[in-house]
Amino acid sequence: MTQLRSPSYDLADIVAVNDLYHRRGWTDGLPILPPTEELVQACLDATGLAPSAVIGVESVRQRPITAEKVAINAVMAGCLPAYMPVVVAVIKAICQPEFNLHGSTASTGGSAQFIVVNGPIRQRIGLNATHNVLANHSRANACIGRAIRLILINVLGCLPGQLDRSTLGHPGKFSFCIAEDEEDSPWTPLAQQRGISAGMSAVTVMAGESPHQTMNEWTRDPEEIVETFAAEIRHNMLTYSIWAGNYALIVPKQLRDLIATAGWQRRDIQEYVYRSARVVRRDWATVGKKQIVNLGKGADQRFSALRSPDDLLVIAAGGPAGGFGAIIPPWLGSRSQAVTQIIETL
Amino acid sequence: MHDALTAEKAGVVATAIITDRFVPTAKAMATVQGMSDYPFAVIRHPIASNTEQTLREKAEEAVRQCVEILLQGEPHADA
Repeated sequence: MTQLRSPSYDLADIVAVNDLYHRRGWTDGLPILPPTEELVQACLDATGLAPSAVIGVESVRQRPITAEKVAINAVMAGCLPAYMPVVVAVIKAICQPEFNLHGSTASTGGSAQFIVVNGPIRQRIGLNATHNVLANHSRANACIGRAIRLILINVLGCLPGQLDRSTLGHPGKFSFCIAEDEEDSPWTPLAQQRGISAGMSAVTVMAGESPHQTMNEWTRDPEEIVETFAAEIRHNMLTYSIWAGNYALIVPKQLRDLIATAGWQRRDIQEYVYRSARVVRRDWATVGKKQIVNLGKGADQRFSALRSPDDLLVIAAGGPAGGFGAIIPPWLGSRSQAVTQIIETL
Repeated sequence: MHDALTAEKAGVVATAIITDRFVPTAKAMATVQGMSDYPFAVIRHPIASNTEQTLREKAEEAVRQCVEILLQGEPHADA
């Protein structure tokens, strides 16, 4: 067993452990599993990494995130060792400069790390891609997302009111991790579309605001189905943030089937939304923001939600019944960009 | 704060202007960067919805504080 370097505490039982961790601000408010040396070592062993191995560095706060700290927080979150390769890949992804980890975690905008997992690891660890996909069900979804939050709190100091200045935050900040329903999707998996080889497992992570749910069960026309998503994006551009960047679309099976039957591919969805999700500056007057209509380049200034069709992350996920979808808006346009990272397994 | 601290470490005299509701965060960033006593100017929150007159008053207050901070000598790194 490799020697761990973190301080240890001799406490009577799990209640005493949780009392200490809550008092010190080391949790998200929920109880944690005590990170005993044995459990932490099992998580490290699942990665093949030395405790001191640096997974990533947050450049503004100059904090290295070591394998030992990742493993401790993963245990606290309830992760099994088999989840560790996913947690490590997410940390690597969010430490890429284009993710802008400091800005997206410190901002009053209050985003969460929205994680989409592709590839064979999904089934090996039991990640959910179907019923209730954006909420409770699978241990893997819940604990992987939670591990990232605990790492942000305990390693990067993302304490609300300190270096996390979210005015509201959103429930995804507890956990925001899904799998793509590759087995029941007519489309190439998201990670492959973003350059990862078939058969590889990967995570795609974006700084996402809370999901906005949509519903359209009254048409078979793919353009109308996708227009409902585009309309919600336009609404978000006016009521939240105008800036272009990565938006995620969660498309459930019932709508995927109709879209695919009509012959539309994922690319058709991306190109339609690229053309349709646009607003004009004067539209702000319709949502209580008339004070800023004449700023910038004036009332006729046009804005697009996407810089290009590739900005749209189209994700096959959700239960088999219901015409319910969701858009997940970006934190602040392209100031944080989605990152896709291979999951390395032993 | 990060920009000011980075400039300071590069030998460029600097300070930051913070609205009062961000003071705990400014102090947290100064601590993370190893200069926990780093001085900065504080004006009242908010900024975006101010009238031009209020904004001018806040700017004048910020200038007054910045001049005082910039002339008081070098900030100290934490031991």
